[in-house]
Amino acid sequence: MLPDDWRDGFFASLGLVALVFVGVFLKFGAGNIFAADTTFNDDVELALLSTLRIETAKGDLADVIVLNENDESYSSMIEGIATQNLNFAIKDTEYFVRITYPDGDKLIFSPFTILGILSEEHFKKIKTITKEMVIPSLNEGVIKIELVVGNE
Amino acid sequence: MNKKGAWVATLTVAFLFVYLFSTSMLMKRSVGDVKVEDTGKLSGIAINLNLKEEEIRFFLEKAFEYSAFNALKDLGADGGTSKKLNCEKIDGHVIWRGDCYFDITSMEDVFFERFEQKFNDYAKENNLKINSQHDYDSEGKFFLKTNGIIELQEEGIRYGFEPGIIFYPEYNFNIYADILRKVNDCLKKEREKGSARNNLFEDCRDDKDFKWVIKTEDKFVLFDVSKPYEEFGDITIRFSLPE
Repeated sequence: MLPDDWRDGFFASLGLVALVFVGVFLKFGAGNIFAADTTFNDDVELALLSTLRIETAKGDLADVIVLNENDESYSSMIEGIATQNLNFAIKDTEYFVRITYPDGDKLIFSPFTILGILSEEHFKKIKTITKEMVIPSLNEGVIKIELVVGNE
Repeated sequence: MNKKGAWVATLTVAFLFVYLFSTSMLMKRSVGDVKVEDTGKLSGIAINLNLKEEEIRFFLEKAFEYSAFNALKDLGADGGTSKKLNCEKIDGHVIWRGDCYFDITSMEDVFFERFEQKFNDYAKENNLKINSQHDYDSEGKFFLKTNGIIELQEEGIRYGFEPGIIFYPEYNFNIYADILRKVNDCLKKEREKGSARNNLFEDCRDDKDFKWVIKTEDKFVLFDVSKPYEEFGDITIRFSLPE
């Protein structure tokens, strides 16, 4: 190999390094496009609908909630269903369902709460995520049902 | 390197540098300095709208069930007569006479008058623009169904669906004819007692198919004939007939 060839090879390598350096310096490419974090709360959304669809001896849970409006003896049935089905055993996380009837009466149930014990103040304190749905009332209007995921 | 080679090499490097620089500038202009691509946004909206559709379907199914129950209750309270007839009542009991009778051939239409109103009220409460209609299937069974498209919108994305909910009320309107037959028999037996008439209507009271409450008022016999409907409660057919 001639000395000229060595020199040409050296300059060519230097040119290549310079080009790569310039490319990096200009941030050439799509390095400045970032993907945002994507979070879906569909578990909470689905949990409420699935809870209302739980089959019971008196129709689904939504029917029992509706029947409870005119006959409060159904509340023990709701409590039983809640104990069985809302206990997801996720550490430090509690699931509550709050039912508001058209006349303003409220009922809160969860696997961790004896019916009626949980106060509205306590409820507001632990509330983190709420999913709300309505179902028709057998009387008139609609019944509001909320699923609340709380971290005490 | 000869002189010609040196020129070619220099021009090549200069060309590549200009190309890289200009391309980079163009990309920066189109993308901006930093772009956060929300890749899950559209998918999230699609999932939300789909879940909303499921909730609306659930609501409409329940609205059908409860509207049907309430409409049957109202129909019974009016002795199976059409609202348009505005029949005379005694102590809340329609007097079955003249045109003020139930018409077994059009009971479904008379029921639907009441059902439609109740269903519309429920839909309005949930801000849903949807209608209901009634029809008969190929076996002649009466059913109710939704009619129309529901459109949802979230962050400029429109999503429409046809609920197509179909509901068969678990009710046999022939019950009215059965009750009338039984009532006529009971009245006939009571009249046949003559002076020993005591208005006890034993055959009706002892009937196990229905719960009977019978009383007399102003030469009319008032009947409250009840039967449970699913888990929702009793449907009472109220009417009165001349003694």
